[in-house]
Amino acid sequence: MGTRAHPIVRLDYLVRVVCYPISAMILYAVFNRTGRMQPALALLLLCYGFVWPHVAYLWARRGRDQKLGEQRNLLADSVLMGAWAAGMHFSLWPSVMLLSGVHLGNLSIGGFRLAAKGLAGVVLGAACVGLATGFAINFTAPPIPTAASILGIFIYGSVFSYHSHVQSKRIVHGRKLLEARNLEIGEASLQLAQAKEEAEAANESKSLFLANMSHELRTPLNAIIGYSELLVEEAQDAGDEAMVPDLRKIHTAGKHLLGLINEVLDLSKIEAGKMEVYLEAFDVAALVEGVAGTVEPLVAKKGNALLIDASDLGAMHSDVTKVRQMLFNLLSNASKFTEQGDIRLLARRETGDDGRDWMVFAVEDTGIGMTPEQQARVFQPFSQADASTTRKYGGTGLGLAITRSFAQMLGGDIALRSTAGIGTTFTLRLPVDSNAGTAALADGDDDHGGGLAGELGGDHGDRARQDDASRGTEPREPLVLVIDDEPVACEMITRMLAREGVRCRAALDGESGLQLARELAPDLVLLDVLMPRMDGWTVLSRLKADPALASIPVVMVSIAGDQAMGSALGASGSLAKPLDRERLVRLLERHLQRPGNRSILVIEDDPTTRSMLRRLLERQGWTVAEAKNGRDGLERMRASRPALVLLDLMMPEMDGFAFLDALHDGGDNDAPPVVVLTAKALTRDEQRRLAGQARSVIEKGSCSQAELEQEVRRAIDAAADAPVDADGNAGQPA
Amino acid sequence: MKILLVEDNEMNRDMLSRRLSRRGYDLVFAGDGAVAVEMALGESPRLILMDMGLPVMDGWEATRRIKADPRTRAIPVIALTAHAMAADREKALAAGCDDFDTKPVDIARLVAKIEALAQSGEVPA
Repeated sequence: MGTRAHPIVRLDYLVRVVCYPISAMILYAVFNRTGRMQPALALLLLCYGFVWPHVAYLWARRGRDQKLGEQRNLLADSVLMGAWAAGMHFSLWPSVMLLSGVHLGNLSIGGFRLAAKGLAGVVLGAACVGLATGFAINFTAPPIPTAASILGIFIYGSVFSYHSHVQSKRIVHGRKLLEARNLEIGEASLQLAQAKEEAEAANESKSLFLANMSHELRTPLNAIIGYSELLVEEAQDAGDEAMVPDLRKIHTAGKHLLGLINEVLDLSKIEAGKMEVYLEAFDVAALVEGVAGTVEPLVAKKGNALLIDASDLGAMHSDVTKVRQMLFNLLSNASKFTEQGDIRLLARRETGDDGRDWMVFAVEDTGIGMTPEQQARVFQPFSQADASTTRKYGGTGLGLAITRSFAQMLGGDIALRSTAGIGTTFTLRLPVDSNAGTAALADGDDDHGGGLAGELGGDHGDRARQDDASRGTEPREPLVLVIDDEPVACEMITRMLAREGVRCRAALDGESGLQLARELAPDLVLLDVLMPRMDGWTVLSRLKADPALASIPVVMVSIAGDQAMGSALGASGSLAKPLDRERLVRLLERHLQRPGNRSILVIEDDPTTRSMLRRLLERQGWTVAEAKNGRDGLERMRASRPALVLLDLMMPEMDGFAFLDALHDGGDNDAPPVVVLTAKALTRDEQRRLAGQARSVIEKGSCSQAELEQEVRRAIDAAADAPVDADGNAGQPA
Repeated sequence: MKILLVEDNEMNRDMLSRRLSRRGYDLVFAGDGAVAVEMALGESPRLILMDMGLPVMDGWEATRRIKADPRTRAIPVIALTAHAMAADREKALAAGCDDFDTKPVDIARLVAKIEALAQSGEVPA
C-alpha cells in the first residue's frame, strides 16, 4: 500500500464518496414512498452509500494493477446499479440516473469495451434481482426522488462535460507549447550552425593572420641574423676576436627564433590550407647525407652518436623540401631528448601489399622515451609530451605535428613506438612516387586524411579530354554533385536545382563526395569549403589530382569565398553562402551547357609562358593548341578551328598585329574571338588597331590567373551566345 | 664584377652589399622594379640579384621585362625572396629568373650561385 493511488482510482473514489450517499438517499425515498422499505434493505442502502465507496477504493489500490482493479470495481458498480434498478421496479428517473451514471463512468474510463461489459453487468444485476421481484415494473416514482434524480443527471453530465472541456483545452495548450518549443529548437540549431561556420571562418582567418604575421616577423629577424653575421666577419678582419663569441650568440639566438617562427608559419599555412606541395625527383641517399650533415652539431652537443644506414635507396618523386624538413625534425627531436646515447636513421625501400613502393625512414633514439599518455598527445600541435618538457628542452612542440601533416600531404604517414626510459622510434612511411600515391588515395583505399595540393602530373589534360568526348556522346539530364557537411544546405541546393530540372546528389563529407564523384561522373560539383575532417580545398585538390575527375568543373561554396585560392587549385568558380538562387542558376547555365568546341589556341613566343598558359587552361578542362608565332598560329587554325585565340603581340616572324590583320583580311567571317595578352604598354594607335579585331586586351602580370580564366570563359560564352557579326567579332566584353 | 642589387628594404640592401663588397664585388642598387629594368640596360651589370616584393613594379614583372628585352636578356637574374615556398621558386623561374635563393641569405651559398651563373653568363644566351 506504499504506492500512491492511481489518478483514476482517486477520481472514482471522489465521485463515489459524493454521489453514492446521494443516490442511496434517493433509493431510500423511492422504497419508502412505495412502502417496500425493510430494515435489511435500509442496511444494504447504508452499506452501498457509505461503506462501498471506501471498500472499492481500498480494493482497487491493493492489486498490482490499480487501473485493472478500478475497472473491476466499475463492473461491480454496473451489477449493483442493475440490481437497484430492478429492485425499484425500474422506477424511471432514478433508474435512468443510476444506469447513465455508471455507463458514462465505464465509457470514460474503459472505452467501449468496458462500457459493453458494464451493460452486461447491469443486465446481470437486473436479472438476478428481477427473478426475486418477478420482474415487476412500475415506472412511476414519487416527485422528490424524481426531481433529485433529474438534478443528479444534470449535475453529473455537467461535471463530465466541463472536465472534457478542461482536458481538451489543456491538450491544445500543450500542443501550442510544443510547437513553440520546436520552433525555438529549430532557431537554436540554426544559430548553432551559423556560430559554427563563423567559428570556422574565424579560425581560418586566424591562420591567415598568423601566416602573414610570421612573414612580418621574419623581415626584422633577417636583419638581426644578417648584421650579426656581418659583424662577425668584420670583427675577425679587424682582429677584434673578443667580440666574436658574443656576436655569434646573437646570430645563433636569431637563427633559433627564426626556426620557431618558421614552424608557426608552417603550421598556420597547413591550417589555412595554403601549404603547397612541389613534387620533383631527387636522390634519397644524397638527401639523407645532407640532413645528417645539418643535424650533426645538434647530435654532438649532447654527446650522442649519429648512425646512419641508408644505402641503395635510389630516387623518389616527392617534395624534397618537406622530406628534408621531416627528417630534420625527427632527428633534432631525437637528439633533444637523448643524452650520451645513440641516434639511428635507418632508411629502406619496400613494396607494400598494394604493390606500391614506399620509402621508410626510421629514427631511433635511446633517450627518455614516452609514456602511452604522452604518446597519444605528441602529434597534437602546441603540445609537447608534457608542459614541463618545454621548460626543460625548449621548442614549440610543433615539429611533430608539422611532420605528420607533411607526411599525410605526400600520401604517407608517421607512426611511433616508445618506452619510457628506453627510447623512441618514429617511423615515417612515404610513397616513393607521391603522384601515384595520390592516385591511389583518390581510389579510396586509404584513410589518410591528407590531400595533395599543387601541381600534379602533366597528362591529366589529355585524359580529361578523352573523358569529355566519351561523355559528350550520350545526351542525358545534367547531374550536379553537392558536397556539404550540412544536411540543410544539401537539401536546399537540391531543391533549388530540382526546380531548374537538374538532378542532384549530395555527399555529407569529403571522402564520400570523392567516392560519389567517381561513381556518378557528375557534370558539376558544388563544394563546401568549411567541412570537418577533410576540407573543401583538400577535396578540390584530390578531385583535380584524379585524371578521371580533373575535367569536372568544381564550384566552391563558402561563407568566406577565396576566389584566388580556388582558382589556383583548379576551381571553376565560387559562390558565397547563403546561396543566391539567381547566381546559382547562372552558374549552372554556364557549366552545364558547355560549348561543343573546347579548344584554345595559344600564340606566344616564350615557351615558359606558353606552357604556363597551357597548364592553367587545361586545369579548367580546355584543350590547348600552341603556336610560337603568328604564322604558326594561322597554320594551326587552318588545321583545326579553336573556340578562342590567346594572342601575344610581340613575336618574331609574324607579330600579333599582323596575325590579326591576316585573320580578318582572309574574309573569315566566323573567326574565333581573340584575347590579347601582352606585356607591352600599348600606344593609342595600337589600341585603336586592336579595338576592332580583338575582344579584349589583358596586360601580362597585372592580371591574376582567376581574371584570365574568367575572361577566357566570358569570351567563349559570348561567342557561343552572340551571332557573329560582319567583322567577325563576337560581341563586346561584358 | 658588377652586380645590380634590387632591393627596397634599406637594411637588407646595406647588409647584403657590405658582405658582397667585402668579397670583391662591385655593386649598384635599384629600389624598385622599374628602376631595375632601366639600370639593367644602362649599367650593364654582369648579374642581377632581384628581390621579388618591390614597389612600383614587382620583381617578377621586372624580370619578365629584362628577359623580354634582347639587350638585357643575357644577364643572369637570381631571385631573392623571403617566401621559402616551392610555389615562389616556380613562379620566379617562370618569370625568367635563372636561379633562386631565400632570405635570410646564406652568403656562402649565394656566392656559389653568383659564381656559377657569372661563369655561364660568359656564354651568349
